[in-house]
Amino acid sequence: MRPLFTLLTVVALMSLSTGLSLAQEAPDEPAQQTAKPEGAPSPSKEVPAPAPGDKGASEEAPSEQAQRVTPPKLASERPVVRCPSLGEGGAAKAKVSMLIRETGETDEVMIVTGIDAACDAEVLAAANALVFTPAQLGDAIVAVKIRWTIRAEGPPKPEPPPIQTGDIEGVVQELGTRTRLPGLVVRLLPSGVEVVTDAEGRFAFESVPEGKVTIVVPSYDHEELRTKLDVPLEDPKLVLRLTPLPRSRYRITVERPKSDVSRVIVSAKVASEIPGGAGDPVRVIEVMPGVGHVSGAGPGAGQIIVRGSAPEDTKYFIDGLPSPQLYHFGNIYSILQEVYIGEIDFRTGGFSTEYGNATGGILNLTLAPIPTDDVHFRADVNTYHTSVAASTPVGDEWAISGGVRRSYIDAILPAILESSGAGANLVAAPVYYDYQFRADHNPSPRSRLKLLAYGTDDGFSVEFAEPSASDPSTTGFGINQLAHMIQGSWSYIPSNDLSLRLGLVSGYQGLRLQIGEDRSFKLRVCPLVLRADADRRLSSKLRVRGGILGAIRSFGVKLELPRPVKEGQTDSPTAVREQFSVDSDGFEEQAEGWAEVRWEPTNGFGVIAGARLNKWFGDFQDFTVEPRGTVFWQASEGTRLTAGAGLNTQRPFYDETSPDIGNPNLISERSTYGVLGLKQQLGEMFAIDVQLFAKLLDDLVSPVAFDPAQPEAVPYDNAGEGTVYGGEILARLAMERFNAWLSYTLSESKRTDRPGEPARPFSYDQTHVLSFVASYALGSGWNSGVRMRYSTGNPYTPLTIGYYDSTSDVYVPRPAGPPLSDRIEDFFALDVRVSKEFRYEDWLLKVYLEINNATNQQNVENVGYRYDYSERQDINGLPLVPSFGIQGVY
Amino acid sequence: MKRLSLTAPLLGALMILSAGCSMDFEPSLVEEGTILALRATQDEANDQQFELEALTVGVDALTWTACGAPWVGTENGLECVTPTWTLTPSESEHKATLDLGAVPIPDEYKDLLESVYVLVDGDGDEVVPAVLSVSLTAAPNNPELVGVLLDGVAPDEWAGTNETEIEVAPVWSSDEASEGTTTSFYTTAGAMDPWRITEDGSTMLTLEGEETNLTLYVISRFLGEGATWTKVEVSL
Repeated sequence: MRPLFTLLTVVALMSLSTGLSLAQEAPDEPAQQTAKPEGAPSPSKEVPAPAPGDKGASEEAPSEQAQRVTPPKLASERPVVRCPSLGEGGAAKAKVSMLIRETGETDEVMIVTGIDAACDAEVLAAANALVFTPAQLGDAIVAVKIRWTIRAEGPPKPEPPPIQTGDIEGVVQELGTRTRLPGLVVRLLPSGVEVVTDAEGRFAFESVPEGKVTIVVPSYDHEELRTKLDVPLEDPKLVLRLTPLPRSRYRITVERPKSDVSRVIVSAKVASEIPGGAGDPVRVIEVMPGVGHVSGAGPGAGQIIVRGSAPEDTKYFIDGLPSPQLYHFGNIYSILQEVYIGEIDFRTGGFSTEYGNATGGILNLTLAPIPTDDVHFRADVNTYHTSVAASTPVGDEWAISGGVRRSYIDAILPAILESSGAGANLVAAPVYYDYQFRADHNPSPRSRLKLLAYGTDDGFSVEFAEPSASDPSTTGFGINQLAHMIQGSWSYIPSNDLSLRLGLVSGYQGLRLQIGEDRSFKLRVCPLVLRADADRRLSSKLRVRGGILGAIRSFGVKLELPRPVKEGQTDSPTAVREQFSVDSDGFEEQAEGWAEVRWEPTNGFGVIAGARLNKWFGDFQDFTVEPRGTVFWQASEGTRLTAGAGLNTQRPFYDETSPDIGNPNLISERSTYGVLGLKQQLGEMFAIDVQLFAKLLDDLVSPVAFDPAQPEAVPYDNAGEGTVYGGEILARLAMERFNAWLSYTLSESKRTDRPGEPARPFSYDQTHVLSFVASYALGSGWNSGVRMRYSTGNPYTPLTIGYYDSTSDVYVPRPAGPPLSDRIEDFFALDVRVSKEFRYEDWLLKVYLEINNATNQQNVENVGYRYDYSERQDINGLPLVPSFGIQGVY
Repeated sequence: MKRLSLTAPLLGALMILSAGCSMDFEPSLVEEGTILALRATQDEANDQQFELEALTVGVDALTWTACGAPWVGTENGLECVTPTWTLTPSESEHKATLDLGAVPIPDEYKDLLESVYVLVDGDGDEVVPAVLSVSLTAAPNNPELVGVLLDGVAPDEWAGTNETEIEVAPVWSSDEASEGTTTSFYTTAGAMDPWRITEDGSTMLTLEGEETNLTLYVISRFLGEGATWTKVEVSL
């Protein structure tokens, strides 16, 4: 009994330890008999291995627990039996009983719980191959019989493929121009995820699950774009090119800023499409309210008449810095190519103290930023000139650009004039050149440096085959005006409440005039102008702006001419006027300061009050203070009221203050103005803007009649006065494809030359000025437009034969009526434009045809006379002139 | 910026000039009642005295009125800002003498005068008055025009022609005498082309073929300084 007892005890202890270590395989069913392998040890009683927590075995033999029993341990790898019959991913367990011999090998393996025949065979094979560390009882190695569970598995399931994703990045551009489009929604389907393009037109979707997706850019100003993609993309960087909707080009064209009474801002891109402008955006000024007809000949030719003021009363700026000229001769084209102009900022009166020395208007061209996305190129060939421009980014912070333009109207216009019978076959038409170089430096969103170098050269000359009938001393004449300027402006925003701006401009300006052999005028000016401005927001309701300007100008004048004929004076041949000889050099300094406070106590109502100080040094010395104020009130969502009043002063002409031919003791001319404005939005499509204005002019420079008894008497004094009253209307209609605006100005401008004299009409007084511009987008890249202009003719003083000056062989006229008592015929012109755009992926081709003066109206631009003043022989404007242009933009 | 103040008015004036020179007219054909030219000749013995002379077509009576300042054309006619005085014609109505020693104007003007402006007017409304400025600081500079050639010969040797064009050429006292001159040609029939020439040269008189007699006036000037003329009666 002793061995049997020992075996039972060992089995019990083994079962306990094995059950603990192989808890998952704890047998729970009766053992089945199996074949005993050869050489098996003596039979022993089979005892099920205990389940976890099953303490029955140990409780059955407490007296034997004192002996140390070490159960067998699996020494080989734990087997996993493969059974194809279980199917992919299937699993089952088989329970076997087996004897662990003292050698650790298994024997007497039998299936206790099987799976199926095939699997059981595999299980038995696996069990027979097991090797254990034999069990021990105390120090003795013993054989034990145990039950063992073997796991069987079917063929493994194929590994599921990993879930793949991809990123989508792209940029949204306008088809053809490659203009990047910010702020557009880009939608990803089917997920519906939306992103908005950034300032550079970029967008991105990250971790997009693989598969088919659709990217949608909903329609806004462009046609909707849908693009189907397979994610992941071979090239994850997309370029989405949107086709602009066939909307009118003049959409959102004219905007009056909230607080300015008489200010209009127009995008250059839009303005360049205005019919009659031949693609020049600055000529949009011609159809602005308050602007008179710009004469093509005679005094004031090609210059802007603003609210009854003289052309020279309106000052020109480029990016806030003074510019000597913005137009080439005759107002044919501005001196900057369209690509360099961002906006045309035009103020007809009541402007901020930021600007001074102007009693008329302010025309400021803001510079367009240079594209930083890519290289761009542009070429423009039209009836008047050819121009090219190119730009490229340089590194991350710089972008540069350059352009040139050359006219060939000198080769074309004479033929047109001759064929039209205008009789100007001797006129050499204007020749102009210009160039621009730009650089932008944008090191951060708060800092921007804009550099511009530009030049312009205008030539205009006539050579007579015979001495002039009007003046035989004139065998020809020539005029050349040029400027080479460089300017830079740096704007910096140190905080959200403060912005600073620093500007500097310098260069060379020259004017040469030759009349015959004996009369000439040469002027050179080298200006250096520095201005610094600051804008500080003190609170949500209070804002302070201010700045200083300093200028120094060196100049040289050589003159062999009479004094120029002044506005209102009767013209007479140069040969009979006193001729002066001047050769002088000098300097002039100018210092200005301005400040204004903007206070908005309630939302929609505000007051702007400021003042400007002007100090002049040099031959002309003066100090003026210009207080100005504006009130604005947004009475309702669609109604805005504005009012302004103040004082503008302006330095007299340089010849008027010249110590040689003028009066250096003159003071600045003054204009005290008042203006009222009402803007009413009527629905989403229609808006009307009404302005009433008045100006009281005093200290105007006036010629003093010559008195031989007082040869030292001054030729000019400040005895002149004037008044300007008027009103103007700007009405705008903005529909989907049709857009139009109409501007009308009614005004009266008078001058009184000497105290006690009756007031007379101002030479540029145009009672009625009406302009109408309309465009219609035909679709498929076709656009059409029309511009109509009408204005009352300028006043003029009728002349008749005065006498024949035998000494100079010229006829001298005399007035045939009161000063400026007649008017030339009213002006009317109708211009038509048709354009077509061809858009390719990365470039754009645009062709246009303009018919200027489509009705072939014989407009009188200036009154002329037969050489002996016996009859009028007017100077007419251009006849019907077709203008064709083609532009390529990359 | 310094305003280029002369640009606009001068450009305008130049455009008017250019237009004027290209207009369609025939100024060389003179009509009755025209004062073609005036000239002054300083007395060699008395530099205060000037002999004034007028070249006219169909003007019989002339009045001579002097002014101390340029005549000013007004709505009402021609006015003088200084006192005026009338010159008495001498020898004929077409000549007068300006004697500065006898200028009847106040001393405050007299001492300041640099030129005297003599207005010559005819007796009819159709006559356009003419003004001669006589410099008191520089003697008149009258060109040395001595005659004229018709088709290369002197008028008294010219035998007439059946052609419709006659070459008319001024004759100068020397080869250099024409330098700086401007010469105007007038005719009572036909037309001169060119009407004016500068310095040496010639012009063509174009006839319609029906004329029998005409008068040519050739006036040469140093502009602003003096004038000389010659008058030729031509029988075709």
